Amino acid sequence: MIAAAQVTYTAAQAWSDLAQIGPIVAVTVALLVAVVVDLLLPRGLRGPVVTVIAIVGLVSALAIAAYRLVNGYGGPAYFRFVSGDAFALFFEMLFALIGVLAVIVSSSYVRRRGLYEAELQVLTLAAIVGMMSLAAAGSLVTVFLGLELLSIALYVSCGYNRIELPSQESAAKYLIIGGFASAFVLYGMALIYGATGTTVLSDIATRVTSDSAGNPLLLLGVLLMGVGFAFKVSAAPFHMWTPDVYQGAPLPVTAFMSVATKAAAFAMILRVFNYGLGHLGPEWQVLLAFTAAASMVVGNLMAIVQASLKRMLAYSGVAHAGYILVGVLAGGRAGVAAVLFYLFGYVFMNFGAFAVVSTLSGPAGDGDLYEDLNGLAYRNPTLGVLMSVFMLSLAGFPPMVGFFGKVFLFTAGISAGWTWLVVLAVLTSVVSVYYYFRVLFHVWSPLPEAPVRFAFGPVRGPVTVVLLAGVFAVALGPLSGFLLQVGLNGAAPLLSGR
Amino acid sequence: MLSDYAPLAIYAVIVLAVVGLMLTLSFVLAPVKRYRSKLLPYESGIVPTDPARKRMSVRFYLTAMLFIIFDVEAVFFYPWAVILHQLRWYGVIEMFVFMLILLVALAHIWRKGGLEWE
Repeated sequence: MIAAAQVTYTAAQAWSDLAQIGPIVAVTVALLVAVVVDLLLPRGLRGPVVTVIAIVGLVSALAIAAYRLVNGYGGPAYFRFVSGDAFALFFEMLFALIGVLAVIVSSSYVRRRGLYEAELQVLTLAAIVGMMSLAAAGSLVTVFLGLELLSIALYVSCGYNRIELPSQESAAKYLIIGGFASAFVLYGMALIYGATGTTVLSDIATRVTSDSAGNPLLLLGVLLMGVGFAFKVSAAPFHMWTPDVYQGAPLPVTAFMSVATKAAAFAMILRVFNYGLGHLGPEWQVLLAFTAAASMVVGNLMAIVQASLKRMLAYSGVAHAGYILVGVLAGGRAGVAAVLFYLFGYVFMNFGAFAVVSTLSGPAGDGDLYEDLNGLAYRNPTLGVLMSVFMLSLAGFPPMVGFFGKVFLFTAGISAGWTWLVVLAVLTSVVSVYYYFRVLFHVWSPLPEAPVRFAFGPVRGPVTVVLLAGVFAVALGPLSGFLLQVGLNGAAPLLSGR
Repeated sequence: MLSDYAPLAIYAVIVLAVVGLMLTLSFVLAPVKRYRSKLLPYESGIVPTDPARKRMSVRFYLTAMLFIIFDVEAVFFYPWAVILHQLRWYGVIEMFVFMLILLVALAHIWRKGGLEWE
């Protein structure tokens, strides 16, 4: 019989713990209010009001996170199961920002496609709560909780357009593969717990030393978790689900999923591998280096032959996961900061590109062929110019944010000794220029003779989002010094005590 | 150590041998007579009325799913009740917050017609 430890938990402690997870609380409250509002208001008002509530919740989460980051209030909470450190706050701000963009794009999209608005926004909020918990996780239990919350919300969102077969296919595939990946992660966690006797990451970090590398439980745990994580960031050879799921899901969901899930999964990898199992570096680095190399090659080569913009962006996402893994492998202050920087920039360029594609959809369906972009620069100059910005940024052209992101990742990789991987990354990014420029070719081609398949509907919302994302993608280039500093601050909690 | 498991291994071998022997004996010795009423799906003399491959309503799946969700949530009450005297008022408030969230979910299901049978 184990004597229960007497825990004194004061009211002051309770309030301070609650403040540490302030951004998560803000989004959760917005979610609950949105659900109730959706039940009580008359039908016509529900959608717009829920959208406004979602935006208010996300903006307040952003404000709380920014306030706490500036004042340096972060620290562990709830018996170290959660942490409100700079790393968590960085990601919470990132997710809140993506959330605002996603909610605006979805609101316009569901109206054009004749779908029900309120529930999609609630699901997006639920996914964001999961992502924030993942970034703030201080224990394997919290990691899994966040992972499941975000995954389940996204499974439903993928099948949101439920009368359409591709949407159903997308949801079913994502559910099965995602469930599989979660099982891998969970089994890995169980083995790590078996080897160390704790789920708290900071305890794992002290108990797992480089001497314990021979422990088969730990090695198997690392392997299983690595496979699950690779599924979640859609890194090759675990990327098979990505194109099908991205193509079938409603466009705003794809846009949200492609950037936010990736960022959340990388936050999880950094927390668990770079922090919790930092001393087992040589073990998981072998696994991740192989995955990174495979992702860069497979993603870039497969993106070339795609006819659908969604599938092309899906494979481009696989390739970018490979680049970001270089930073994860490099580790250390420079590597982690480079990952944070790249994720921040990637979010805006990729989301912007998807938001442009989402303006092409009408009641009849999504326009996601290259041909649908023909003459975009003349039909709508703003969208045309900004689509070019996003493509140049994804391809890594200076002075866009994508260029600086790659520079930071690759320099961190080289100084950590991953030269062969960086050489491969540079070579494959040259390949990627081809398919990004193919988009530019269609955007700037003369207006087609035949009537365009999709005329523009009421797309003011998405255009605003595209503008915002475009401003970020351009402005973050010159501001990269500042953002890198924020990234370095965010990386610090993962490196303390080492 | 590994040798501690030797009785278990011996036991497993014996079980497999006995089961294998019994199956083989009944396969070899038993008389086999195949005729129509013996090949019917339900052998105890009841005559089948219609084919087994017919469509059934799976309407209950929704109710079952909702039940399981709330059932699992309710399990959290047990550990909470055990250590309530340690958690004091904080625990009470926390549990009411939890129940409030469950209540919102229940209201959502109810209002959206998740509990209607027809």
